[in-house]
Amino acid sequence: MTTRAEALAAIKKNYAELTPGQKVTARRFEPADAPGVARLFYQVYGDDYPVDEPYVPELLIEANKTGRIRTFIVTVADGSVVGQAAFYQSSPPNKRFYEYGQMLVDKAYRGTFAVARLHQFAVKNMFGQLEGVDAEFGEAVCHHTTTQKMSRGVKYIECGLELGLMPQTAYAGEGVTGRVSCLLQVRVNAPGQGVLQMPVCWRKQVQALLPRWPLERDEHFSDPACRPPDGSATEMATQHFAFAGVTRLNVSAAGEDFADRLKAELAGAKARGHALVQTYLNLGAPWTSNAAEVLRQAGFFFAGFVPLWFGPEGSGPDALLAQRFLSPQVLADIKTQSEEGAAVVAMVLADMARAGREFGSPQAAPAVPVPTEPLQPEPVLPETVQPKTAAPAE
Amino acid sequence: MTMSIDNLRGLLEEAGVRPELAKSLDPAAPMLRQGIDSIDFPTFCALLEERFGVSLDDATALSLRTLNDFARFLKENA
Repeated sequence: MTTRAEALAAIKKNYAELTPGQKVTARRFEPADAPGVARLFYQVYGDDYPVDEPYVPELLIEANKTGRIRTFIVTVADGSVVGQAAFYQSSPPNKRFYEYGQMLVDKAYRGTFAVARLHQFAVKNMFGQLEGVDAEFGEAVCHHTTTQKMSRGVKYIECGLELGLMPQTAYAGEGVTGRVSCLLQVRVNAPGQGVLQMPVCWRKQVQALLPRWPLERDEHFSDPACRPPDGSATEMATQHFAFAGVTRLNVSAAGEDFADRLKAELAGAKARGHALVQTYLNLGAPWTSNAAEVLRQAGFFFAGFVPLWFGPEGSGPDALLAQRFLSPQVLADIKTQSEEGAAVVAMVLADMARAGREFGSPQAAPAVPVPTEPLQPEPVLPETVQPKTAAPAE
Repeated sequence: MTMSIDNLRGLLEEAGVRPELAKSLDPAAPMLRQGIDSIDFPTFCALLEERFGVSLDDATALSLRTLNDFARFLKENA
């Protein structure tokens, strides 16, 4: 098997600029495209993309063969890969919940219809049509509304705001000041049935978002007095995104030690110099309210409700997303394309302010005032969509 | 093929343009100056390719700036 270092060396050795101006066509990935995809990732990210698959052709071919990644490309007559996007398994523990992203276009083809061709191919052939995919999500940057509009057109529904997720450096040259926020948008293809334990402290937010999809949920109000079983251990997966300065916790099961584990994670994130901690909390356990209260008392604020995030078989449990900044941050302008998106932004900002008042949690302040009304997309010439830069694991 | 401006407005709506925007477009003025954005425009072009069997490469598409331009193009090529 080729190593990442060997693959990168081969890419650099064979690297050549593409001939601009050729007509682009979109289609599904084929094994012969793997070196072209690798070249594209190298052009956009250099050596720094945190995952090996795009650089190592055998890995990308295998990932597409197993369905873990569903790559599609835009290509030109000479066979060059000028753009790519993918549906892929990422942070959700539910492996039937795919992320839509990794949209990259060669610099010679930015300002063309390459992005639009990719997206149209996905509209016709992929959204809601992929075998083994019960739900899809995207993280649409908020310093412009292009990605939000593309996602919304294919039934991705706003359900959370990853406030201040990405550092300004990820969008150099775009005139961004401050950390960039991303709207979480989820499309549910197969809602299934499941239990939803409503966390008392954030029930209004969850109840406001829940009707946005036709979910079949057996809803319960989780009793705040219900505690995790004695001696139970928290099941939690931690991801460190060094480039973004983000620690992400996936709490599959909050145990009796949850408060202590959370305290340790916060201390570790602070020691790493991270800006933000995100926690996805499983909403399937009877002691959900207790666990949510642990988060609230630790200064977290509500950031989203994400259906199907945790289900091993795709039917839930759903997740609550809570966030806490570790130091005061400046936020880039937050633009929303829809009323639903604007409502999510208002909901999350209000709860962050509440966390500041009640627990002194560090705040993220917009560099400019956040609009209360959704903005109409600006009339601009066709341009590539800047991908949300994935962050490397430490 | 002769395509009326109103039919083109209908196709813009199919491409995701808000109906009020599609109806308000001045057919003689550049669409990208009237609120049609970088998602709407190529989607509209792709819809025309699919519906009328015409080939619109990027350069040709970007040379068609107004609804009148598109109507003329379809009359000559579809």
